[in-house]
Amino acid sequence: MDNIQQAKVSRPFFVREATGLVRELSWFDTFLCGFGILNVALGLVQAFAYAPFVFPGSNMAIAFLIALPGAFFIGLLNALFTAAMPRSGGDYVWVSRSLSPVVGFAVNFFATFGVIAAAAVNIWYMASNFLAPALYVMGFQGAASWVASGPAAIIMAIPAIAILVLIFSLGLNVVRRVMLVLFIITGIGTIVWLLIMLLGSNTSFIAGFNNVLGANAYENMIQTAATAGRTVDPTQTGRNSFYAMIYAFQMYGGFQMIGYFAGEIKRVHKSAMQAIMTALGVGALFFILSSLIVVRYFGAEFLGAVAFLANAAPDQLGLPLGAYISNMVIYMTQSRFLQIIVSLGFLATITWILLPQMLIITRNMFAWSFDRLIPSWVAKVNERTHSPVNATIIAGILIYIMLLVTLLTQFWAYLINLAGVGALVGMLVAISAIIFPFRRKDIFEKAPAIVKGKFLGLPWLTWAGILTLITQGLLTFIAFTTPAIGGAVNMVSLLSSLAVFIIAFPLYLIPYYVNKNRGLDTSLVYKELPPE
Amino acid sequence: MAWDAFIPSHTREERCLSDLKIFFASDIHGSEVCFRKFLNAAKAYQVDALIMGGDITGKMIVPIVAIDQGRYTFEWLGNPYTITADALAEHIRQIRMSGIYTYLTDPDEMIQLEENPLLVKDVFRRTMKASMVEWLELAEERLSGSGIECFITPGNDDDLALDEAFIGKNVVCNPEGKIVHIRGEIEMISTGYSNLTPWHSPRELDENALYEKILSMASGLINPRCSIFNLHCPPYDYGLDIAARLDKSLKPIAGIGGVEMGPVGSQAVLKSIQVYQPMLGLHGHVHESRGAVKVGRTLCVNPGSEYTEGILRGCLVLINKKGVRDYLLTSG
Repeated sequence: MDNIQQAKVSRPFFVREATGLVRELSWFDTFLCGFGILNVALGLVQAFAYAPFVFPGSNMAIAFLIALPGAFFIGLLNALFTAAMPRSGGDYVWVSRSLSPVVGFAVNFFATFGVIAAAAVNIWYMASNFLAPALYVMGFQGAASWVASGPAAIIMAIPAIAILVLIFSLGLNVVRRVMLVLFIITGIGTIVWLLIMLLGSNTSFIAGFNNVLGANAYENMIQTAATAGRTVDPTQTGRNSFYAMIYAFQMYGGFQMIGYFAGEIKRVHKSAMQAIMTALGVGALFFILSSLIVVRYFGAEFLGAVAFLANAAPDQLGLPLGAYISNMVIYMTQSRFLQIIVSLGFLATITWILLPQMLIITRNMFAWSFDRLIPSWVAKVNERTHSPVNATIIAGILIYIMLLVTLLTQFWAYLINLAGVGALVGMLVAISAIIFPFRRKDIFEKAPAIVKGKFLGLPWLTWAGILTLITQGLLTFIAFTTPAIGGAVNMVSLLSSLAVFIIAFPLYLIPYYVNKNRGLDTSLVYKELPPE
Repeated sequence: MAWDAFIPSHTREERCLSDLKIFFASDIHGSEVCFRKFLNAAKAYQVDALIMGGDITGKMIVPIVAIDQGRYTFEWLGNPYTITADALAEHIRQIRMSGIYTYLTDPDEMIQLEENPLLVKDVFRRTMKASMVEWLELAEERLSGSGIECFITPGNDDDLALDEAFIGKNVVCNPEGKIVHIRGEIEMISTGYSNLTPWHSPRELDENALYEKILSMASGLINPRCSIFNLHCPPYDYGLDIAARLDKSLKPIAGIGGVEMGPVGSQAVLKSIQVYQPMLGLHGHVHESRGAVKVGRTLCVNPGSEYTEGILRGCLVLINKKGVRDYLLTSG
């Protein structure tokens, strides 16, 4: 009997030498993967640019804390889906298999549109809010004020996108190396920036600010905002901190995508969960602590006043550079060296974020091409460089078109509630998780125990879907009931926002029928084959 | 005089003969459910030919130990089971569905297996071959009289002894190392051999030897530009061969922002495709690198693999007089 027990416990299975049997990643490896996804500096810059204006008196540290459970649910959903279908490639396939291929495409199309729009805005801000301060501290004040202007962004975007396309055309290894270099510069810049704030105080910032802009400039900024109409209702600060979690979610956003790489490694159910939760945990800690440091250093009233003036009365702002806290480096220290380190760090951080965005856009184009929804030449690999040059160039052109539309039209006024629609689309992914164990029993039954585990009779994946649905529902509610985020909600604005999602349906169905007429039935892509 | 004598010779050479629909899948690694789906794909997709590109056999065996009369114990997905003989067949069926073999043993043999890797190797060899024999019988039964041709090539992970299982089969053909004709018309060369891997799998060759092997087949083609190259390993660095980079201990190299990925395909396969420019290259080997690319005029596909989830990834290819008319990557 002892022998039996020993045999059972020590060797539950035998494995032969075969391709693909790799060793597990260590916890530290997984931690590194997750840590690399974080972009604390950029997240803080964007959060403090809008949250104090939209939700006066809000506390971003509390907002990051409140957003944590919801982000955990979204992360859990992604980790469990990744464990159930490790090589499937994300929400496009998850939703396609669970709900329907056309809904899966619509979700993916909307997400891709969002990434293109975000990349366009990042390219714009790269010039105005990140390159400008870098040039300023290096002594090129004239050039700094020029690149901070709108027309300069249109011109500067051309070489920026061209460099981006060139990097991708040289292959993924070059992309990785560039990302690593940018990550190091970002890391050094962020650490120095945080240290300056940590070792300094609000008094030292006020002294630095007044030193550059004149006596009482700090107090005047707060006063000017108050005169321009900024008020903080002390009874609403709790509510506003709760609502500000919508910005916290945007900062957390993306951490769950690291589950995708987990599909390439052993024991995906463990590694995906580790990678996603490590990124979320470390990210939340950084965001919460950094938010406290930022508020302590700059002062909540000052941050609120700057955000208010930048958004509501930009002509009264009176700053030589933009209102982002990344621009405040010129008041934080008199050391030119430290100013350059910090501003280059911020420039690297906005550039760094463009690389994964480009990767997502091109990968999605590849997936659509393989599903015959767009022409196959889009996914053509260049014979010389062995890289997807066509998809990369198209992505670059789309980003530039989106930038022109952003700067030269009232486009965003029509897409008033993209964040809200994004949350609505997120609800579809949640619904696909809820029903997946029941609609796709064939896949679910083969999933690891962590996916099939039950609580109160329902699978964990279903629970993750339900909790994500509640989270996304809450975000939808906040987005649609906060005019400062999305303007007034009416039928026209709602339809304009939904149009991006709805347009995906004809974009799917037209090629479907064209292909069908040519004898290629693309509905076979996900056709279930009988396993008997 | 044949009617095509009026066609200029260079055009005639490039004209492929027939309208044909083929279904290609690869790397099912012992998954019973994927093999059955593969056979059923013939009817579901209404194809003329089925092609399996290699790595058919599984990588793992779960020993089921008889502990006393009528009772068995084993561990599966981290959970210990003790079952009666009545439940044995159902448990074996469930384990087999996910591509993992079972092996009925007793406590004494179990001790020997733990101590002697050669015995384990032998158990693997016998189990894989027995499974292959069963599968081929099933394929013959299902496809016999249907007019559907079926080509199954062992891949680099498949033991050499597997080839014996194909002897005497009427419907299923092992096209390894040969020129075969699909529907008597389209020429196809095949090999499941790959370039060298860190795992020292049974069918590996260095790049020069692999090129020679492909060349020995390709040089015998009458119309290479209208042929199919069914080569298990994908061409090097064309996007069909991207896998995690490994260190010396076979651990993925992870760094800031994720696992490092890189090409692991074959230069020999790439060179042969570039030289002969067949109309179609069918590949597998790298499960995570699903896709379709053009190498010159050749459409090369790797449908990828999700065998652990019981999902059969494949590729439908439509061929007409001009060559490959279209393709569709499927996930069934």
